[in-house]
Amino acid sequence: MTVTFFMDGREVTAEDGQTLLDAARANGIDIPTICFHEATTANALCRICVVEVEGQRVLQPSCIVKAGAGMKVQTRSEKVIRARRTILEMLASTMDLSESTEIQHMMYEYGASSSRFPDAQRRESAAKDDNPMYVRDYSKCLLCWRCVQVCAEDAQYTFAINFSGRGFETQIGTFFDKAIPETSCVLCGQCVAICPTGALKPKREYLLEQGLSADQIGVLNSGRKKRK
Amino acid sequence: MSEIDLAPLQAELQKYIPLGRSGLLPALHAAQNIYGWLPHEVAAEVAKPLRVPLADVHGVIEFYSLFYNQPIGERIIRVCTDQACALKGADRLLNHLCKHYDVEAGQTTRDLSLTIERSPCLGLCEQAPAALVDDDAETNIALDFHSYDIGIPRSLVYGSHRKLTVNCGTGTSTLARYGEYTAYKKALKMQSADVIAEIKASGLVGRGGAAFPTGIKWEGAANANADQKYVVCNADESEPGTFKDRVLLLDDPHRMIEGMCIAAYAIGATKGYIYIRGEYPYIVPVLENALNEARMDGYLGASFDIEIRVGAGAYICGEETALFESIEGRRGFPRVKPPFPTTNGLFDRPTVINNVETLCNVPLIIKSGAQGYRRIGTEKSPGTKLFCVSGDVAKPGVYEVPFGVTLRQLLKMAGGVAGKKPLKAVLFGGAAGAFATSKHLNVKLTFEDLRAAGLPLGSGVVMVFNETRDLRDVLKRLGKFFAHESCGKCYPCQMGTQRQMEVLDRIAGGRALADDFARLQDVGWTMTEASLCGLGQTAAGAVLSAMKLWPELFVEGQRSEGESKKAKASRVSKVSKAKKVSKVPKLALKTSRKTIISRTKKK
Repeated sequence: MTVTFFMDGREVTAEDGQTLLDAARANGIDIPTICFHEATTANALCRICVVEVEGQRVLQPSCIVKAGAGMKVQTRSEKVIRARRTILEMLASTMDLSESTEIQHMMYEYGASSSRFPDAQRRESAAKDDNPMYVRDYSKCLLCWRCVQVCAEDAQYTFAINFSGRGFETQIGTFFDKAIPETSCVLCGQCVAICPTGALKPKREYLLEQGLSADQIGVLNSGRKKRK
Repeated sequence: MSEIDLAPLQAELQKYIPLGRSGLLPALHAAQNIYGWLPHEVAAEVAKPLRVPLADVHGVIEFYSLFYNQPIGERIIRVCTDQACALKGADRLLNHLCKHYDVEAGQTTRDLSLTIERSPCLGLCEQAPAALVDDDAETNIALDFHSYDIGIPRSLVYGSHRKLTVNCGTGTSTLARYGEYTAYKKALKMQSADVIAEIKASGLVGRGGAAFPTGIKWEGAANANADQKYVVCNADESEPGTFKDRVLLLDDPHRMIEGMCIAAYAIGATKGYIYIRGEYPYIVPVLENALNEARMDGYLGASFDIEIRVGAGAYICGEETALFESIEGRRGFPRVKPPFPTTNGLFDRPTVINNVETLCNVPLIIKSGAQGYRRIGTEKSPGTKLFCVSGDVAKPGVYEVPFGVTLRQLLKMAGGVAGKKPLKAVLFGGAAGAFATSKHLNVKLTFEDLRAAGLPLGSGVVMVFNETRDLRDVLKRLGKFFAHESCGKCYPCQMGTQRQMEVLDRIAGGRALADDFARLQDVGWTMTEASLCGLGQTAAGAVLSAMKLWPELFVEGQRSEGESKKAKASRVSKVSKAKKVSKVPKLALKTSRKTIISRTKKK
């Protein structure tokens, strides 16, 4: 079964049950995403993928809204652009996007200014280097939830991480902020692999960036082996 | 803290084990009752038998303002500093209290005897200023503390047509006084489809703020196929300025319970929940007693029973899907809709969730029939409405009036603006509402007329401000409220409420930047259009309406961006200087950590 509908004035077809985002991508129409990932449950929380659907009161997240027959969708209307630009500007005023090249690119594309919100409180915290496998720098975290999801029901069923705080002050956290080795974490690395911003980083990459040479890191490793 | 005796907790937990994860909030409440706060050993002990991952328990504790993962005082005073209380000097009251006990707001005294906190609206607006002292409401507090009321708050109920509030204002109504559940008995003799038809024909729409047709909601759940269905009473009344449900629940709990029974019969539900906000602890025993009375008389227990769930300080849990998440033992994150609760609600089962006032209308409709019910009100807005009138009026309280009276008539009933001062503004519908002015005095209070005037009825808030009031201070508090209460799930609201608060702070402090008007517009518009749930979609409503009515408020005292940078630079240097100077006291603080415990939880 397929449905026919309109995207940016073009007649397009989609499989029944397909999301607007999938349909757009299948038809070569670009809709930006941040929290969405094929491997995780879509939560429609970043709202960057919002589109305008005729007859709907507010903008609709294309990552979860299903294509329907005769639907009229605008993926780049003035409203859509205003929402995306404002969300990007708020992100830039909140977190360290220096390693989020995709988002930097989006900001350029949507004319988003990184200094739109002067005197804005940022979410800053010191990097947490508490385990041999990865470093957590939540100043770079944009709360896409993917790490929490892969640690839980979307992949690993480890449940080592969840959230601290609420609202703007939300942060990814462990039980009573304990160090990773004291949690149920099995160092599977799924969270590191799925992090879009460099907030979670392999320890080796982190040490190389800190200026250590491959040899020096090797010594760290061999030292551990010897102790064994 | 290794010497914590976990035995009393283990005994207490037996009750919650059958509930599984859904028992998490009740179990945490019980644990906090025993230990005063939730040390990690206690949290871990709760997690084990309920089979909840430790990280998730942490996530839940962190989400709810009334759960503490650090020690707090034996007694706790929560002073409301939202709009209505602020008008009556709540800030002065709080400062006075803090000075008296030598402690900062949000901190605990050295001897761990007392914690003082700022609180979002406590639903005691008509008796402002107010505070919650442990489980007691403290109201009408004189700023010199020489007089106040403490205990269960009084109910100030007025109005021309006392239908829902006929038993209110004279203390709690027992089942003996309420009388038999005659409407429920009548409904049981009808086909369930006919009960729904009657509710549909009555034109009843939800009173919690969204105004969704109740009959259609019931029909959706009735038609859904499932092994289990639920009826939930949304008693998480937290909209700043709203206190009508507090009065209905305290004074006439059986009316709401009878409404739930009828809803359960109509849709085929066997289980019901009342989710009541954590800031109404004094209502819980009243509800428990009423439920027991209803069980004794056979209304509950056989085909349908009701459980009480107590929230823990999160405005977002008034959003229906966030409320379900909370009952299920999770952080109160709203779900994406569709699917809607009528098919995929609590525990993913078909669920009818109605506001307290909505449910209180149900027995009336069944008793008098839809036609009888429609004799009051207007064609499109039948029945009566409870308005929560507070602020600068002579006689604040709950007013039950037929739909169709004008704002002028309502204010006249309330004795007009206090002190005969001219009216400046009325905040309609709560923090998530919009402002009206004297130009709107002739607007009829109906869904249709208010919509035409661009005003939301919301939860029935009518908060009055006289000419001398600084609306920028009101807006600043609105901004603070939403920044505090955003759940943080979707980006527009998570960051938008924070940025909105910052701009409103600047404006209230006479430090507005040149582009702050445009900034506020963009942030407000984006939250309204792109947020995931109703909180974000309305978090800028009142601000945007004020920008239309009084644009001058947002540009006065404006500085250019250049000046702002200078100001920032001077602030930065001040901060760094302060840091150097504070090195010694910081050390001193460290040694006294054991005695001064400041909560790190957000304010």
